[in-house]
Amino acid sequence: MNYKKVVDTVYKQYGVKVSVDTDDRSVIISGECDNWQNIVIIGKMFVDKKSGKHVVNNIRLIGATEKYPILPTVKDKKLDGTDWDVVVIGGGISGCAVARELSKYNLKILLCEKHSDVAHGASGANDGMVHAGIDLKRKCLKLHYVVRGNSMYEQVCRDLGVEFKREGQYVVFTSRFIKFLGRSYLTRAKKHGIAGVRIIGKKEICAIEPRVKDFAVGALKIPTTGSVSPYKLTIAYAENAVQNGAVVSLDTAVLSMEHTDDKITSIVTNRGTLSAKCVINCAGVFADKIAEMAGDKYFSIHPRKGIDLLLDPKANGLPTNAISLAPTLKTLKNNKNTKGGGIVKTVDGNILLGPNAHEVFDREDTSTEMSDINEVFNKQSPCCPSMQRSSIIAYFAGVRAPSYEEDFIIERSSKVKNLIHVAAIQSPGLTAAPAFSIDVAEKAVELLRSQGVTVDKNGNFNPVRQSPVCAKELSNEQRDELIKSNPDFGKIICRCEEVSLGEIKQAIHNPLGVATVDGVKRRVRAGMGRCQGGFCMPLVIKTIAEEKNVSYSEVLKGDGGSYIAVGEIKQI
Amino acid sequence: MIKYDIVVIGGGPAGLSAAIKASSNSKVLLIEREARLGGILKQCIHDGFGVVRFGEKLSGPEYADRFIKEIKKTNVEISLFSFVTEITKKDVYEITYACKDGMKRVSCDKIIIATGCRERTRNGIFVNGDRCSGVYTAGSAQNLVNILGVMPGRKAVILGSGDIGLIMARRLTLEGAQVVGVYEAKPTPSGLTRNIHQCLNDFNIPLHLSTTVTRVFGEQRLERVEISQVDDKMRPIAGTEQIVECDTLVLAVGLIPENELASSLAVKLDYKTKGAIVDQNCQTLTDGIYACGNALHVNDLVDYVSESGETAGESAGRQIRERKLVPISTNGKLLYTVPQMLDLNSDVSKVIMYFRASEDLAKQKITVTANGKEIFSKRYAKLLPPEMERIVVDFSQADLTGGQIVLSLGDF
Repeated sequence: MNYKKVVDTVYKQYGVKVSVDTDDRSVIISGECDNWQNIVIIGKMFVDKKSGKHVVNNIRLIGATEKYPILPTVKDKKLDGTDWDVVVIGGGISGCAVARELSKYNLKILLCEKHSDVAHGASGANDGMVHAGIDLKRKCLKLHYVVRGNSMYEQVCRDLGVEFKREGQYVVFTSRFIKFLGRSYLTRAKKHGIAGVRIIGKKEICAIEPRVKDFAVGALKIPTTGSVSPYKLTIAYAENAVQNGAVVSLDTAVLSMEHTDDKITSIVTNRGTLSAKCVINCAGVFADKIAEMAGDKYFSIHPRKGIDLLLDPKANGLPTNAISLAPTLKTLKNNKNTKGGGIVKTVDGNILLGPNAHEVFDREDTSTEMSDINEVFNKQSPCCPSMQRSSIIAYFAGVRAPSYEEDFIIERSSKVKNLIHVAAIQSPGLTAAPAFSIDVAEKAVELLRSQGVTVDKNGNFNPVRQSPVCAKELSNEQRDELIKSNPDFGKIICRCEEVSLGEIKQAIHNPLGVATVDGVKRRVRAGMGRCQGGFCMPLVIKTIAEEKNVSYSEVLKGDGGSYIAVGEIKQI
Repeated sequence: MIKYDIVVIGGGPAGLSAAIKASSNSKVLLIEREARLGGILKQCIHDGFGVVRFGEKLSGPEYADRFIKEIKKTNVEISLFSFVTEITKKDVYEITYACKDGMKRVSCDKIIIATGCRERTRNGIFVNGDRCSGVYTAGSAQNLVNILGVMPGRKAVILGSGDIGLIMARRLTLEGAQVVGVYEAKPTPSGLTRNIHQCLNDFNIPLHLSTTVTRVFGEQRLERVEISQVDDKMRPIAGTEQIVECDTLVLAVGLIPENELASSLAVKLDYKTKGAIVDQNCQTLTDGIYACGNALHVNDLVDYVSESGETAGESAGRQIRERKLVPISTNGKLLYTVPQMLDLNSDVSKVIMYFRASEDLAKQKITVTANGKEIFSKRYAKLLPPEMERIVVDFSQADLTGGQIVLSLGDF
């Protein structure tokens, strides 16, 4: 790539003076600009697929000070002086899956997560779709892992006790012309090895999804698309890792690292300084920051926010399948960074719309805007015009962690010999995680062995994690038996999702030790229904306080500082 | 399987009244979801309940207690901490419910739905911004203070001037919190006039009309909110944003009748009330299913909740008969009317009708006509949407053959 030419173009188009530096791994650009969107666009202009170099975008946003990451409130010495075979940084789907795969070996494994629960970032705020990989055009790491990962889902979810549904997905064609173009998907599916993809006619799609009958001329049927609860799977991976000997330390943030030229010597956290023979960077939106701490910054993460809308499953006029409209030339032009989202059916039966995609400066900006909600709803409603805006019961934002090359980075550092990067894991990272986590674990074992560490298989490894009891899923006879063995399972606390006291207590005593209102909500759905916890929240607080023997005002919604009560009445 | 004549679902004020009335001639089971009877009254420790019915101002628990004492004298069977999971219809209705003893199944001829209502949530009105703690619906905040005995925060903003919002503004003030203000998107208050006086004016809590909360800020706990003025279509006006420091946002933005069970039985709902369409006997369009209280339509006084419960209980106790239903239509600035139907095959001489005006109106006359002929009228100096009105109409002398019954509101 002729960098000088790009520099000139950038100056002409954006008035930004960029200076360029290259090494064997990256092209490093710097300068300053007053518009974040432009900074991201400029970064993309330096992507050079031929050389395979990563873009490190150091262009400064004028007037902005990078918000310091949200850090845990706790400060102690819990981990001070400890020594680990492997330290995994980040408790998203990548980190938790890697920790679990590593627990198949006899290793001292520590996973550090800075939030009060795993799956706090993008792994907890996505649509839960297990992708087929049909939208990936060219050969890349994403494609390699998405196809493999997708095929592993039945087994992984059976082992980990997580519900998984493979109900397929339909891309609806709205004109004969688009239907004709849609044939290219078939060629691609064949090339990628995605089974069962076919084009179905108007009659068939309308029988499957009658709500598209006014405009559908046919559809692409992708039978291998599935759905899973992304946070439940992440939690399950983490719990299974813990059951097999790994340690998950929540409220634990990596603050800095001490390193020589080619080795990380210690990791400084808010809970003490520790050392590790192997460090695995699964830090999501902060993956480039962690790399920088190790003196190994050769890529940049540019946070990209997306909003999903969750609809009331009891509302009328909703579709019953995962559907989206096939892109037209016009929509293709307007959306380069997202597959365009769609209507997704979650594994719990909710209809979910989304997501959109916006480049954001703040890596932890999970706030929502009315404009996002309108954008997502207006974009998806043509696919099912009978959907009502009033059916929206919840909406949430997640921040994706793409690199400028828009592909996964899963490799041993070529510079720091005890570091592995699992970075730039954006969609379809959830689908890919079961596959790449195995490879990452193997890379870690290889790394440890190369350092003279003996690595044996964990003879006691148990791949099976018991899924928590869900009383309403049982038959009346089984449920009756359960209640007779423990009456708490007959006492319904969350009326919208039919969650019993027994299930809530079980969620409070989870293997990760998460005892927050959000932790209960994600594990057993208490507070996730149409009243959004209006009725059950006080009862959940009461139960947590009683089970953990703390006062009501010590019970948190999520992270440290998110208290719900400030003290007893008559006291403030 | 035990067979009952009537199963009442919900042990709040509506269900209690219904069960008491029905028990005079029927075998009744009352199923209550919570550990204690009384419904939401348990946490309404302020006074003002029972003025219409008992001529005294009782607290919520006191009001409930009168009915609880009453029901204990009857032969109504009560199942507490019991949650209905399924209702199916064969020759009779079969109800499955979970309780601490296991899964139970009973059958009955008739069901009275008295499941109350739920609050609209933060997401329901699209309050955007951060996902911090410190945002509560008024009912949750009331539960924290009055049942758990803890304070949700120290400095509160109340969004919505519905009655629970006003009550909570006073309650939090009495407990030592600072209530910065009550913000209402509508140009007029949503709560009862008496509550505006007793809860806000008496405590110098400002009420800001045509203003709403447009954004919340806070990394972990709420730190501040952005408020904006709204135009006549309730859309925020750009440039009017103001930041208000607070650690608590209480939402009192409306109540929605709880009709999940009714929907599962395909009971037809009224999109205006969001409750079932009923005749003057509180029977829905599905034979044998009755609805009353706040599940039928959101009331502002508990006295009327009890009244509709009694109507439902009394009529469910009667023999099943073929109905002859004619619709009651509305005309003029009416938000809704209940009942929406009149059954000509049962008593039409003392039909209780509830209605609300759709906006603040002065000098109004409500008229009931049958086949174009006026059979009832009443004048009002003023009508406010938050204040439900009740009339009793005698249709026994009216010509109902043409089936044209109209409730109309107009100037006089």
